[in-house]
Amino acid sequence: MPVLDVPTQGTLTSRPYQITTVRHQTHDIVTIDVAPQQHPIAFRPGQFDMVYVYGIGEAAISISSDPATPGLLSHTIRAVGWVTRALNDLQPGTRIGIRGPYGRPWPLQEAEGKDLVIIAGGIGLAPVRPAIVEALRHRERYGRIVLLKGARSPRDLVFRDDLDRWHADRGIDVHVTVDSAVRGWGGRVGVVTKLIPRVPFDPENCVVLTCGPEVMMWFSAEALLKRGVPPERIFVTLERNMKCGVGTCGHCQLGPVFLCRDGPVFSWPEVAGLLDVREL
Amino acid sequence: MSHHASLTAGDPDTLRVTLAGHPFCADLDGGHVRAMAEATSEHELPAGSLLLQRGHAADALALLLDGDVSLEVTEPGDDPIVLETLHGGDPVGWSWLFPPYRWLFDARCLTPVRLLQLDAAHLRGLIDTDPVFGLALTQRIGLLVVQRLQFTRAQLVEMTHHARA
Ligand SMILES: Cc1cc2nc3c(=O)[nH]c(=O)nc-3n(C[C@H](O)[C@H](O)[C@H](O)COP(=O)(O)OP(=O)(O)OC[C@H]3O[C@@H](n4cnc5c(N)ncnc54)[C@H](O)[C@@H]3O)c2cc1C
Ligand code: FES
Repeated sequence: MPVLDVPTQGTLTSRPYQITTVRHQTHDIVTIDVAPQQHPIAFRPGQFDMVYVYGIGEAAISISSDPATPGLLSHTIRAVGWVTRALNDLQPGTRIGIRGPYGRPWPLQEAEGKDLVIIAGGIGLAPVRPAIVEALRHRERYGRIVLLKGARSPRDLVFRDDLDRWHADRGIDVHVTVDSAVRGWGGRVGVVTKLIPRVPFDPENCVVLTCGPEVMMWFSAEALLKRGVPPERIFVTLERNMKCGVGTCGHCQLGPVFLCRDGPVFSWPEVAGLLDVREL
Repeated sequence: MSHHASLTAGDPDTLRVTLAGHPFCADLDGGHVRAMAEATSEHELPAGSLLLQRGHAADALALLLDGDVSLEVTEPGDDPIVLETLHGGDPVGWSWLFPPYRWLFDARCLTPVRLLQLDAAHLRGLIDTDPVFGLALTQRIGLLVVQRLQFTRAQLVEMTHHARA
């Protein structure tokens, strides 16, 4: 099947997809793989889809699969409300609607020739996973590739297979830490930001991609700035309630920006001031 | 400090250089490092051994050189809760500086650990007799406490955030 590389900004029509696999990542997070019923559509790491459970509603969900195989899309979903809970309960064979991909992707090109540092908290590994897969495919384009992965507890770790595989891979330096654990876990315990001052990378020649709870990204940015990373090299991805996904309804507005159209990936100077305003 | 600790051979000069190279001593005056080195020894501990034990006398400052250590709280009948892990380059504990000089947590070696042990009575003596050294050392410990408090707050915020979600 040909892969369409169509600009989908402005497209509001959802296309049918069939669920091929459901993988339970944790007690409340699943990854669903879907195959298009029409042409696959290319996407870039960091972009998101509006995923439609027929009869229930839509939610913005980042694409967590390999951009090189747009014929097999994955979305990783935490059950928090109507749509995401319904998505967690779907079985292989079910049809869902998807429109997208939307949004500004991770600036992987800007990271070429530099160290690439990825900081992911909780389910935040999902939106950066395509960037990691893509960077490892073109390993020679980057300096060090470092992944700092935080989770609330060992049972909340997502993409364990990937973490194990990447751990064994010399191309990427993986550091996993959890906020709390009992003895037997054996790994690091402490916030992910604690790793920032000590993990080897060149602060003056790196690009950092961070994704996770806003408070984690805020703490991370503080630690990165302290280490000497230029603010414009720190990128975050933000989440706000979305409806249209294409910059027309205003649901995702954060001060002067629409997250769906101008983001969800932003450089730190673009949004740092906005995150400090409580009313936004 | 643990009964399992085995003293590793080391002449005073090597010990002083190792101490000066530890991140805890970064930018510390050479004379102060020399004074601290007078009561410093290097040790190795096997994985699984207790480095510090809750309720025991806090009689030394440990500076980790290599290996991983977990700070734990043990409730009878339950698996110990790991509060934080510490790694090569980290100092362990500040209870040796404040009365009643007793450890509040257990510290267990997750891997074989190599560390420098600085005698607490010697350090407290130096603090009392040399105010410049006292200020430098207490500022370092103050910074350590502030950093740990910030990490703990971040940990608390993240856990509360998750619990709310
Ligand atoms: C660009 C973008 C990418 C996203 N990618 C993903 C993704 O990859 N995987 C994923 O699971 N979600 C992702 N989200 C979040 C998801 O779109 C929202 O959680 C969405 O509101 C879920 O819809 P719902 O109908 O299930 O819940 P809603 O009915 O919208 O919300 C139900 C309840 O859950 C709360 N809630 C909503 N979102 C969250 C949240 N993120 N965390 C905690 N509580 C929340 C609400 O306050 C409300 O109380 C993304 C959002 C954006 C904007
Ligand atoms: S979701 Fe409608 S403007 Fe962004």
